[in-house]
Amino acid sequence: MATLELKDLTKKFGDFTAVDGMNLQVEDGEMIALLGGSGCGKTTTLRMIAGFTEPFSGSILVDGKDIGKVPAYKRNVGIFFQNYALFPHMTVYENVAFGLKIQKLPKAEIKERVDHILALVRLFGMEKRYPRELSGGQQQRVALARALVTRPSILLLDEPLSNLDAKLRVEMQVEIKRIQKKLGITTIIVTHDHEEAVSLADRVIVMNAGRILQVGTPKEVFDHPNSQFVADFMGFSTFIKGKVKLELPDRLIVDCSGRDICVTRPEGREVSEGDNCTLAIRSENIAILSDEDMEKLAYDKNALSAQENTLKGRVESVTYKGHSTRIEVSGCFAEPVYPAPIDYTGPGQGGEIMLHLPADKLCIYKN
Amino acid sequence: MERKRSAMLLALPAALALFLFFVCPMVYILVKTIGENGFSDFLDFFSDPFYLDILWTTVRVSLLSTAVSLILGYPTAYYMARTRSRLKNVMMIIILFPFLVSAVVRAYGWMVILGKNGLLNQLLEAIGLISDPLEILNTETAVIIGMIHLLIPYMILSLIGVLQSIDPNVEYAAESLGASPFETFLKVVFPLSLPGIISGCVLVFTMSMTSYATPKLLGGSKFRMMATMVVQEINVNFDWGAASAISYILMAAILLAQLIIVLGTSRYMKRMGGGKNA
Repeated sequence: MATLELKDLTKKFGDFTAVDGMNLQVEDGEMIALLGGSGCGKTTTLRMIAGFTEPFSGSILVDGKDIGKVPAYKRNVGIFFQNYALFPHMTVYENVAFGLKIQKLPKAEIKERVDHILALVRLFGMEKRYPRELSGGQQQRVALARALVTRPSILLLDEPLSNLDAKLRVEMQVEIKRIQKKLGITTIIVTHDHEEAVSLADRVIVMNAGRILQVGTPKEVFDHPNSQFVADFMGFSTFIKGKVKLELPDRLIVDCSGRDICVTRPEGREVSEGDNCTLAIRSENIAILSDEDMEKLAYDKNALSAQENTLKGRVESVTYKGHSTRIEVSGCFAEPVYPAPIDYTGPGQGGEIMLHLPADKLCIYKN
Repeated sequence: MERKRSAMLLALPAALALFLFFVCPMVYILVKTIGENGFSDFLDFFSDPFYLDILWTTVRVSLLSTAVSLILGYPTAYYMARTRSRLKNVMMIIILFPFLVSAVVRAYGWMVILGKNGLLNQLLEAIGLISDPLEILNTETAVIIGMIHLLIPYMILSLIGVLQSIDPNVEYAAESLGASPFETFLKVVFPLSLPGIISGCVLVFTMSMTSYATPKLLGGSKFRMMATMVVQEINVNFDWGAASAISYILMAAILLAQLIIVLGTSRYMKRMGGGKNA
């Protein structure tokens, strides 16, 4: 149980700056996710916190104390590795008991604590197996148990779900969250998967090129990315270039390839009349209108706002993705639009389609 | 099953060559020796302190060479396994350099260095550490030095392979769990590198037990090891029976040593999944 603070943390490899003046505060018991693509500095940050590599400058404070000069083995930071890094020559029991044996605890206490943690990760009865005799999911839970059993003040998880199949992923997501909440350990997850980040963490930190781009709750980051880069990384699929034509108190009218698109005005973001901008929207937020819907709209004066962002386009391709269908639509703007309805029964390639972009689901970024 | 059988066919040419040119002559020698003299050549060996002393010298020199090669080779191998230096290939060539020169030439090199008026004595005298030259050449020490120089690349190569296969994250994991670098070595790196240690030691020990040129050239006329004794029995004493008995006893000693090593470490090897997943 501890607070963690990174102050101006910087790491350089030769000329390359992997982490660039990072500032971050993590509350006691909080679970945060460092989210970013490969080479964004998230793993380097993790390794600096663990003490495997030294910062170039800046400091790492645990409970207010600078641990920069403390060697890794005295930091009491638990770490979970992407490839689990279990000791191949030890049984499950020995793997988990390793840290406690190093602390020279009495045998009875070691047994009690190992049994307790194995029950927590639901691996009871597997003590005598070797890692190579376990499935990927079981190995992962051994790694988690091993990192937790020493009661670290901070827990670091490096891509905890990346090596698992879809079903196990969901299961482990729930498991990790349950255990973390139960033990109340301050936890940092490193991941490149935005779904993993938003589903696990209390707070998400989006990184790129060694810098923090956005900090926020999963919902904030998922629904309102603060830059086009973050939007792209968070899975926004459709990006449309335009120019702000008119500023109204609660909305902006944007001229996109000659069409007027209405956007709910974002809080505190400086986009004003005459600015070149980019609009972004998630696939699942783009509505497809049937002829019936169109008819209703024509007579319904209240649906005016909806009518405003209604566009006609041509279907370029239809790709069935299982849980949804990805459609490429051209002709609305210079850029293609990608709706992804769950149940698609509309026209196929070459057909005409009506789309609606809800004003409140559009994010706007100044170029 | 089908696949196993065809794999066996692939091993056939080498197996056949070994059988024809190694097993057959060895059996022939044994049969001929026992046929002519019974077991007297073997009994003579074990009842003569002169021979027993040679056997003991051979084992002692080999054990020391193996131990020193391991101690000197391990840190080098560890560094080589972990370094990301661009010079790694250059370092590898330097390690393999002794292979480019024959054992005889290398022994002559050591003679120049270790001799009474050799480079080492000149150096030590020049800096005033000694007043009389050290007697190194033509002693057991010279043989061990030459042997280590000859065999350490085998040790390093065996160790590099196995150390490279150890995931660095496993070491980090141990450290994050509170193990000091020394504890990490003792409880993680060392046991995981055991297969490499065993193969390196068996290789170096065996080659040292059977070496001829190095003890012959660096040990002087009074220094004898098993292999030099075999040649002496044939060329000087014309006693082929004694020579073949010594060869067989040397082979038995090596097999016994290997057996002890393998049995002594079988518990560990079993943990590593028979070495398969190590």
